Formats: sequence, structure tokens, C-alpha cells
Amino acid sequence: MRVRDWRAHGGLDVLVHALGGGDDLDREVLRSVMESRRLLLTESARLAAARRDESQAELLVRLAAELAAAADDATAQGIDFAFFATLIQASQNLVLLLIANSIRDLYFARLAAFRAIVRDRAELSEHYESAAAAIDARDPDTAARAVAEIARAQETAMLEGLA
Amino acid sequence: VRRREAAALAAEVAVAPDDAAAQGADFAFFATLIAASGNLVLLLVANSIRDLYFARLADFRALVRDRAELGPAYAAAAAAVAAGDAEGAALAVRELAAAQEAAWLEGLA
Repeated sequence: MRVRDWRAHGGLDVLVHALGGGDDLDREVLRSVMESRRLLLTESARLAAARRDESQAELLVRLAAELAAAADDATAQGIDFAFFATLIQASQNLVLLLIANSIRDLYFARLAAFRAIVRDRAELSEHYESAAAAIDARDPDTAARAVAEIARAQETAMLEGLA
Repeated sequence: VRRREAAALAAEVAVAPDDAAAQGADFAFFATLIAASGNLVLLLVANSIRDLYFARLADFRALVRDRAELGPAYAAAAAAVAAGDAEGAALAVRELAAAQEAAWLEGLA
């Protein structure tokens, strides 16, 4: 039997295994996941500002407000996830949607290990609101900037959590 | 090594004698770029897209249609990567990929 290098031949499905078991996350894989998440969400925001429909724009504004008022981390994680899932749907890009599906499976399999994503939600709420407002206003650059701010802060929080 | 590889591949795309050779060099150029990014997720995404691409190579010929005009953009991207200039590299690759996207969509029209 021939064994192939998963880095050269694997798809996103291997991430679940590469990230490690339980709450003990592999730092290098996590760095890649959070970095690519930031890049993909930033471009999704840009596309969403151009392609969103009315209901998606309204939902993003509502979710941004709900996140700021979330009672606990678990609730905040659910809202954060819904916010970015809506944003990616609004981008109307099938490949981004499929990548997000793969990362979603990874995320929900280790929800507690990703708590740090919503650690700084009080300070970040203005960026969620700004992103939602920019998508509503069809302003791609502002939407991309606001989402990059959120995703970068979440990346930092996750990596600090592992340090 | 990868930085030198990118520069050499950028030159190969521009002077490729035919579309098939240009596609091979173009693919190797972007594969080298992604490997140099050191991001595992982008690498895995590229693996998936590679399978799709090589299964339908002829359908993607338009990607290298404008390679003569795009030669400077490949070279600029390679030079920016070699110089550690993140913004310059992103700008050049964005220009390159947008032109390829437009060429491919025109081919469908």
C-alpha cells in the first residue's frame, strides 16, 4: 500500500485530525486556521457588501447588536458563528461557503477550545456593528476593514490562550 | 530557495512556447507561492482546487491567454515576495488573478 503525504494530497477534511484531540490544540495548525479564517472572512465581507440581499443585511445588523448584549460566552459564540455564516452566505461565493462548511465542523467539534474567540466581545462589538452597517451600505472597503479588525483580534486571543 | 523558484517560474510563464507549458508554469508559480505562505489551510484548499484543475486542464486554458501582458505582474509578485514586501506581493497577485478571472469568464460568455 502506498502512503501519501497528507500535506501534499489532503483536503480540508484532514484538519480535524491535524488540529489535535480534545481541547489540546496543535499551535501551528491553529495558527493556520485562524490566519486563513481572517483572510477568508475579510474577502467575504468585501463580496458581501456588493452582493447581500435585504434580509441578510438586516440579519447582520441584528446579530451585531445581539452579540454586544450576549449573556455568556456560549451564547456569544453562537451569535458570532451566525454572524459570519450570514456574511459568507451573503458573499455568494460557493468555494468560500464550502471552506466555511469544513471549518464549521472543526469548530463545533471543539467549541470549548475556541471560547477565546469571544473573549474580547465587549471591545469588538463596535467593529461588528461597523461591519454590518458597511455591508448594509454596500461599502466593501469599510466592511473588509471592520471584519479584519475582528478576525485579527480573535486570532490573537486564540493564540494567547495557547501560550 | 522558494523565492528564487518563484522568480524563475514567473519568467517561464512569460516565455512559455504554448498554452499547456504556460499552464504548467502558472500552476507551479502559484503552488510555490502558497507553499511559501506557510499556511496549512491554504495549502489544503490548494490541494483540493489542484485536483479540479488538472481534471479539466483544457477548460482552464484562458487563465494563461494574456500571459504576455501579465508577465510583468508575475515578475512583480515574485520580486515583492523575494523582498518581503507583503502589500506589493498582494497587489501584484490580485491584479494577476483578477485578469485571469476576467479572461476565464469571457471564455464562457
